[in-house]
Amino acid sequence: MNAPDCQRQDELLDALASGQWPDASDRELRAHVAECTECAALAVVATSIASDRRDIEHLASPPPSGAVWWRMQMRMDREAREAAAKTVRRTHSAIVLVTLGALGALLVITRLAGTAWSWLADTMPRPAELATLQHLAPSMTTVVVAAASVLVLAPIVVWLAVAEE
Amino acid sequence: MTTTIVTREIALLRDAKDETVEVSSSLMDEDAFRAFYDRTSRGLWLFLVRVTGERQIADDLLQEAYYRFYRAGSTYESEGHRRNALFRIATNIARDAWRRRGGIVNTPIDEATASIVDHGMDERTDLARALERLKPKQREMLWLAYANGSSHEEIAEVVGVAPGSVKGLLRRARTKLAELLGNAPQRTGKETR
Repeated sequence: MNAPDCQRQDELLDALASGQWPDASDRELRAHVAECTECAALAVVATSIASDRRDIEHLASPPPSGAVWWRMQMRMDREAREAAAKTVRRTHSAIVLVTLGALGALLVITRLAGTAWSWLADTMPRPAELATLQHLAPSMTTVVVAAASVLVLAPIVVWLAVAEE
Repeated sequence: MTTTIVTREIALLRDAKDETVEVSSSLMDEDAFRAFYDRTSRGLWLFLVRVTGERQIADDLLQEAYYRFYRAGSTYESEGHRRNALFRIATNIARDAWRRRGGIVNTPIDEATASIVDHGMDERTDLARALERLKPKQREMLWLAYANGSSHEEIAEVVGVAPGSVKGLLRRARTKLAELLGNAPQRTGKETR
């Protein structure tokens, strides 16, 4: 449990803040501080730190505000560019992954469709209506090729567009 | 005489902190930033020198603190709040730097002194040596209280402690520093009236 502060610390702080401490302060207060550990520590520490600040103030040499402002703007620009480059890299990676995935899926679907079509052609009877469907086979190949082209070309277009930005 | 000048400076600092300034809603413009920097940079630099114990580190941390403060783009009710926010950022990055260096509390005084002298700051004082023996939080609180004239609420805001605990923490820090300065008087029965 903390011991309570000396009740005369406020009085001492006022004397310190007003510049009366120690010479112009009340004699009775000085006598008290000479005997009170808490107040003596306060007086020593407050006076030492305030004096130290004054003593080293002439050494304070922060860079000029204009230089700091310029460096901040440069740093913000650099960080903005780095963030944009990171976004582009991520987008490119995503495009590559999506394209590869789509192509893989297309290959699998094409193969499954071909297998299914062969199985149907071999096992099912061939009524006249089914014979007409067989004519669609070449056109489905065309559709698959077109879809594959779109899947390949679209990401490349997006890639180029993002890279230019 | 010296004490009078110093205490008047503290009083002026207190007055300046209460001035109301315009509320900003985004990043400060150049004029506003430069004016704020000119008002606060010397005080912050001194704070960082005494908290870190090294001028070079203080230089680096000063710019980092202003950069983070600027990027935050926060809104403040008054100059005092804005100033406290800046000091809070500076305090946090000073502690981070201190942790990265593995702490300087136990750094031999000779090494620390050499570091300052190398950077041209040969006005090494007993106080600076004694401050290095304290914990970072104690250094921060003592400097804010007696060099900057901050109130307990402001100290709590900057250092990141509960306002109610500032008084006790300050007292322990004062007692420790007074002992290190070799000026602690003999204990008497009147110490905690």
